[in-house]
Amino acid sequence: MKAVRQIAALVHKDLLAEFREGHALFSVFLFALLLLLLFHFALSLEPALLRRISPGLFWLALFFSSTLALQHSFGREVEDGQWEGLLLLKIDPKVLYCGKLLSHLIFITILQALLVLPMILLFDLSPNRSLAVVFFLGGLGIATVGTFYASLTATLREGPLLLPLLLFPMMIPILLATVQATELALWGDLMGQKEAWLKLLVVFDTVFLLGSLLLAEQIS
Amino acid sequence: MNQVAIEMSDVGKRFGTHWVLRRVDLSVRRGEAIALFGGNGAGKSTLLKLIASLLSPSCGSLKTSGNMRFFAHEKQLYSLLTVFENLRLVAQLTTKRVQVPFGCVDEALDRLQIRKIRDQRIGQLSEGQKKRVTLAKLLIGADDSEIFLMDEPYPTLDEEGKKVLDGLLREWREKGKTLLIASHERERTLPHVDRVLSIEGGRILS
Repeated sequence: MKAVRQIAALVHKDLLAEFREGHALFSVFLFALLLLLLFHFALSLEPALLRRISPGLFWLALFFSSTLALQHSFGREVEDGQWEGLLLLKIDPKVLYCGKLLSHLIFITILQALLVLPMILLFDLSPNRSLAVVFFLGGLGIATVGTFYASLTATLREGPLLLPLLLFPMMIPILLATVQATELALWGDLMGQKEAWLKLLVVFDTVFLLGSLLLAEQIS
Repeated sequence: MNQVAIEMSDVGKRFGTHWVLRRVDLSVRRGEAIALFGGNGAGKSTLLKLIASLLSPSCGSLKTSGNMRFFAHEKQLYSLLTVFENLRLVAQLTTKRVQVPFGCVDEALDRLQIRKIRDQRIGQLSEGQKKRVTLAKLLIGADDSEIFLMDEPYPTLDEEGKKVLDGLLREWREKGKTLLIASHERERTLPHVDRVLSIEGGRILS
């Protein structure tokens, strides 16, 4: 009960700060949108082919922009020793991790919702309900691994440089499964493969979540 | 009951190749108040951060017993949140009760005389006001804490704020709390302590 209250307090604190600094969400959304536009124009492929690879472009844009948001969010924690302040209150590191994870997951979900319309307009996609599960599992995977590495590197001077180096290789399995599941959800699943990719995504998410919780002590 | 609050033996701290603290031996009894004087870069803050477990020693052994509160050099406040929201967060995170005792937030606001800035964001406050809010944070759950580490608590506080801080230090002493105060302000700090230690070049001299 105490842990739930602490996590809720941490998430509330993050959302308040995020909401009051509205330009941060807008900037991250704009960054993701620009990435999609750049992909769209730089690749200069035939519309059908571009449409075919659009799930990959969407998840890459989401991943890069969410990493930016994560760095911004943790930057706020270290600007005047706030992270140290939380550690000094002797809060269980798992609680700290879960608080940050939930905040980031909410942020990613909002970003996903905002990016749907540009995806429809740019790549002529028609989203369906089955995408919701893929979005949730993919978002959870990105948030789980991202939050863990961001909290590890937050207080390091080289943290902003280290984060992408540590994070990007770890994201390959999640991105692979998410892109495959998204493609199957969009273009139809004749061979019934989507479920297998979703199961794989559930396994990745669970392993990374449990691993992060087990290693949460390292955060401090 | 353990009578020793802090025990350090042959403790050293190194950043890269630079030793900030060397061979520190220190024993602090429960209820004892100690002032730590020394110039800039002498190692006072590092010593307090080691005791607060924010840093780990490069060598030697360090033991502490009892809950601890650390008034750090950094304000540790969220600039986008209001004074009340910052204090409420501490109450929500530290209380062991089922219901969060928001009364302690009001009490802290009154003790530090910052009720009138309750709904202002930290980013809008002066340095002195921020310091008062940091002190108010320290008051929340202070009854459960036995050791208070204070890193330069006086600078940037106005005279009224310094008097409030003096009152808090007196109160904690009366309640038998253990105090370790790193400060430049000798005259102000001396009435609150039993013992004075000087630190220079990372070594405790007396």
